[in-house]
Amino acid sequence: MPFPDGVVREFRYFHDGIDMADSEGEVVRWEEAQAGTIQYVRHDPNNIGNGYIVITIGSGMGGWLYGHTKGFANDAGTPWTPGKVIQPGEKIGEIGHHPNFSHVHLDWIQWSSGLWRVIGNPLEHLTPTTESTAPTVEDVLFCSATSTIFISPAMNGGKVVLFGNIDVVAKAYDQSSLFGDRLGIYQIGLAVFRPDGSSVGGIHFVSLGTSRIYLDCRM
Amino acid sequence: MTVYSPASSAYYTGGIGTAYLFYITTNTDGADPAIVKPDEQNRYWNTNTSSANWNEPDEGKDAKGSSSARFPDGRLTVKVTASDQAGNKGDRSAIIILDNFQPFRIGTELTLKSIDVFRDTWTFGSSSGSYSYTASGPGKITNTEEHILRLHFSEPLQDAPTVTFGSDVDVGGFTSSDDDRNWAASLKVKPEAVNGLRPLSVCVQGCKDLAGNPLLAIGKSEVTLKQPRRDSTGAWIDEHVVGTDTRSQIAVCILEVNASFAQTPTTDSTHKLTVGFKYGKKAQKLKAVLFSRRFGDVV
Repeated sequence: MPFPDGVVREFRYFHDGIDMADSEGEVVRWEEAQAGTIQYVRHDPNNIGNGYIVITIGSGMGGWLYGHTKGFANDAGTPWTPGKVIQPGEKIGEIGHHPNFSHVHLDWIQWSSGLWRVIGNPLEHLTPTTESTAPTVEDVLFCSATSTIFISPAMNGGKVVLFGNIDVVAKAYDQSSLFGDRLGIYQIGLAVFRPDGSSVGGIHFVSLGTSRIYLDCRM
Repeated sequence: MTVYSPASSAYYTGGIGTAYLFYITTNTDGADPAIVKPDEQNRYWNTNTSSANWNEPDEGKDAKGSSSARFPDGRLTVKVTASDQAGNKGDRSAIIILDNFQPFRIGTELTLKSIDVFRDTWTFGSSSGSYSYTASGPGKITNTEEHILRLHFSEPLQDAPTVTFGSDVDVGGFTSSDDDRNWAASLKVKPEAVNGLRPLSVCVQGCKDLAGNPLLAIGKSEVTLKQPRRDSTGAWIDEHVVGTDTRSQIAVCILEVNASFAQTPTTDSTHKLTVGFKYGKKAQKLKAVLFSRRFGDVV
């Protein structure tokens, strides 16, 4: 991916992938260390952001989906079609038009049970990142196993009495300095401390390696 | 708690944008928190676990006494930390009050210059699931010196306990430590105390835990105790009368106050404490009568 400074940023994640912004028409290259196999090409004749290409790595059926792209051909102009092999450094295509902002949507995927499925966070395979804005945890809420009511100390005068089985829910987001969007969190976890600051329970980080961890709600 | 795929969410359409995202931090594997188990939806932070496996709801692992609970009743801080892939971290803390047990006085100490005069305690037996009472003593005490009474509670209290120790003894104001679990006050025999030997109970009352539960009333003869605790619905198990705790009994021998020499205290087989105060010649005859008898007889 030919970014001007050669690094990968956390522009947008994690809506089953990351968005890497650049100008429409910028060349997208196959930067893997080994050859890939073209598995699927979808052209978008109207160039409205619906084109994408799927390339797997080696002999396996795992690899990358490059979304919102166009012009799927190598540097010599030879079109990419399923089954062709792409070598490291070869041109995949170009960034296409998008109604909001031009970018490549990158998914880490695998063929499984008749579908291409997202299997992980692309950022785990793309390093280093240089973004420096820390995530924001706006609130911490608690929900009893016997209740559907979320309780926040901020909503209860700072006093929340809990017992039994509890879910701890964090209202949190990461922020891109580029767009100001609220992005997903990469990892999140909790720790419990006594009033004197000593730890009762260690930090239990939840790695958001899949995108199925957050709640289906807004508050 | 139900966990949905964002792909099935109405709010997912159109991307995340400025939406608020809510993350369940408790649906992980208890043994290995790095293992996310979003499909095992009924995983929680079991605040009453006795196990290191903090999010394995299991009645068999639930603590039956606050002494065996991994997360003690009272104030705790829950800190959530979020990180991005570049390693930047943000966090937020929330103070909560855990309330899995009803409070009781778990121990008493009466000391003179850091030397035990009297001590009792309720010890939890994990196999029996109940507390048992033991007491020890006595030491030497005189009415010319200030003693320290320390009360240990099973969890923090909202306010200082109200303690009475008979009409002949003054109990000073309490100060707390260990996050309001331990309370200490000075104790001194009143100058106008009337000569005599009498049993006195340390009467503790009027205090509540941070959740508002009153102190358990424990009588003079109780030797085992099941601490009331909540079941999975929040109802109390092993309910107990609440009110005044009079379990610690100390027999005080008050002779002539502020006289010339001291009497060594004695005790009976039930660990009731005898306190000998300095006395003068006028009291020698009374002293001889009093200390020739077992306290079990007197009390």
